[in-house]
Amino acid sequence: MNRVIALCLFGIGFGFILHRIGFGNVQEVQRMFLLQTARLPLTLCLAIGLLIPFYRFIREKREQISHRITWRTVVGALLFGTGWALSAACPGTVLVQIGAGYIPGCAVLLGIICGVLLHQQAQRHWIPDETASCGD
Amino acid sequence: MNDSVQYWPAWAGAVGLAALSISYYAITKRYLGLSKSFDRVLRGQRAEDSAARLLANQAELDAALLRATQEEFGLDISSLPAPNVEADPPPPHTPQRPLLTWSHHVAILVGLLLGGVLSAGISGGGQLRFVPDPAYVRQLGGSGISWALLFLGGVLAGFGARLAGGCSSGHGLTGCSRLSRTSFAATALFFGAGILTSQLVFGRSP
Repeated sequence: MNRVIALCLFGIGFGFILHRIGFGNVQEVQRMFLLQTARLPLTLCLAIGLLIPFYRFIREKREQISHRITWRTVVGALLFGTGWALSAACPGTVLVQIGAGYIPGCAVLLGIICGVLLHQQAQRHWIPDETASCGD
Repeated sequence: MNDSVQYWPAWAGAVGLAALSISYYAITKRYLGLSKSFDRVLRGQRAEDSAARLLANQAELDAALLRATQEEFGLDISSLPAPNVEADPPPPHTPQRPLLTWSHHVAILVGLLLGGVLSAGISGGGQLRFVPDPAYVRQLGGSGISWALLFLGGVLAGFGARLAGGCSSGHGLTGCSRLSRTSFAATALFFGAGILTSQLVFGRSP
C-alpha cells in the first residue's frame, strides 16, 4: 500500500511538472513540432544530460542495454511520432491534458487505449514479442 | 487551449524531470516508461498480478515454463531431471526489484491525472474546455473531423509506442539517458515523424 501511495505521489509530481513545462498544452506541442520553439526539446535534452551520470552510477556491472534497432523500433517510432503530432498528446501527457480540463483529450485517451489493446492482440496473434528496449 | 500557466524555463523543467525519474527508480528499481503502465493496466488486474508474482518467484516460474513446454511439445515431465537449484543459483547481479502490480500502474496513471488537476488549479487555468484546440478547427474545417483526428492520433500513438517498446518517457527520457542506441534512433524517428506530420497538417495556411 505504501508503494501505491508513493507511486501516486510520483504520478502527481510528474503530471504537475509536465503541465508546468508545457508538454500538456496542445499549442506548445504543436509549436514544438512546427519548429517555432526549442524550449520543450531543450528541456528534454537537459534532463537527459542530468540523468546520464545517475544512470551510469546505478548501472549494474553486467546489465544489458539494448542497442538493437529492429523494424519494430522504426515502424513503431514513426507511428508514435505521427500520432503524437496529430493529437498533441502521448500516453503520459494525455492524462495531464484531461486533468487540466481539456475534454477533447478524452478522444485521444480512447484512441490510446484502442491502440494499446490492438498491439496486445497483434502481439498475441501476428507479431510475437521480442525483448523490450526500455523499461522492464 | 489558452492556459494561463507561466511555463517553466527549460533548465527548471529539466531538473524537475530528472528528479522525478530518479524518484521513480528509487521507488521501483525500474526505469521510467509510461506507455508500459497503460499496457499493464489494460491487461487486467488478475493477469498482471499473477504474471508479476510468477516473475518474482523463480521456482514457480520454472514450474510454469516446464508446464508450458510440456503442453507445447507433449514431453513427459517426470522423465526430465529435476532442476538442481544449488548447482545453478541465480546470477549474483540479478537486481532485487519489488513487485509492480496492477494497482501500482493504476496509481501512476491516476497520479498523472491529478497532477494536471493540481497544476491547472493552482495556475487558475483549470476551466473545462469541450471543443478541440482552435488550430484543429481552423485547419480541418470542422469539429467532427477534429475529434476523429484526435482519436486517430491516439490510436497511432498507443500502438506505435508499444510496438517501438517505449514512448517519449521510456525512449526519449530514460532510454537516451541510459545511452541506448535503440532509444536514440526511436527518439530521432518519432521527432522526425512528428515534425513532418505537423508541417503537413498544421503548417499550411488555412
